[in-house]
Amino acid sequence: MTKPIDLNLAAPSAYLFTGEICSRSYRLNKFAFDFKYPAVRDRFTVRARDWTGLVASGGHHFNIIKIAAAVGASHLHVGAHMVGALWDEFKQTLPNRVDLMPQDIGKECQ
Amino acid sequence: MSQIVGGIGIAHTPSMGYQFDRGMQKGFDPKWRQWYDGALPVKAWLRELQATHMVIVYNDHMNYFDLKAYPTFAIGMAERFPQADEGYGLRPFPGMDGDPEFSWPIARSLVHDGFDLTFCQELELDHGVYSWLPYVMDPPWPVKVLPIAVNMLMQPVPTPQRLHQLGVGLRRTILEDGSCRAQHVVHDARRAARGRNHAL
Repeated sequence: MTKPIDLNLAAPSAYLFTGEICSRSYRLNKFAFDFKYPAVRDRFTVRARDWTGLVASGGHHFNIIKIAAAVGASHLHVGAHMVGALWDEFKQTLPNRVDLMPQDIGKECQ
Repeated sequence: MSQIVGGIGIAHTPSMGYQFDRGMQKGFDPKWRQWYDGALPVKAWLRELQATHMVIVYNDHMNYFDLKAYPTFAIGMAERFPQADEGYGLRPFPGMDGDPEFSWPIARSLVHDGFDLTFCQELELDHGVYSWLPYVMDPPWPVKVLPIAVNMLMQPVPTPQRLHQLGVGLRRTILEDGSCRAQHVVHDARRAARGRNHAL
């Protein structure tokens, strides 16, 4: 039996992104944002994939998922990591079935 | 005098967009079929209205704006708004046209109302627009757009009262403006409800 997933608004499940955090973590966020550019993605290897650690360090969700996108993960994978659940467990908790990742579209249509 | 011919509030999620693309190619999953079918009356209604312009109040998701300079209210004054690449490549839809002649009087009026807007001569639209857009319109897009991006990503976000004032101001200026063209206003439902539409 898998352990129940604790969904709540306390860390590490959720973090409030305040102005103070924004100022403190600006360099991390700038670095992550730039992963939206293919040329930047090509320059780095994403190894640890500690999404929760990046968010806990002040990374904004929508910036950290740019790094996740570089390895084919989405905001939902980041969410799963933050609540300490495996992806297959986490997606069972979502109201709508998620069986499609954005990067799969191109492949499916080939 | 311009005329407001309608308004819609609609949720947005990235998955809405991806499921639309797959649905059109391979058929919709039953759960997402509800979404597609549910939007059809809206699509028919918009076609019937024959609006010329659409004011879209939405939020960007760090796909165009970044924390280097994050605007509370940004208004798109360009003639062309490309789709933003969110890191997975562009979806198969064209950009949207703007109409600065239409947009500037509205922007001026909002500033006179006390809104300190950031004027964007370049702006790319992300899934805050493109996830729901193809559900309610077919390309080539039949309207010119005036996008207004509201900060929903970092605290402090504008208050609900402020967003209400924005809606009141938009209505007043659109009705007063002299361009004699019909239009409709799309308000993302999330603006009003501060809801959790990502639980879709």
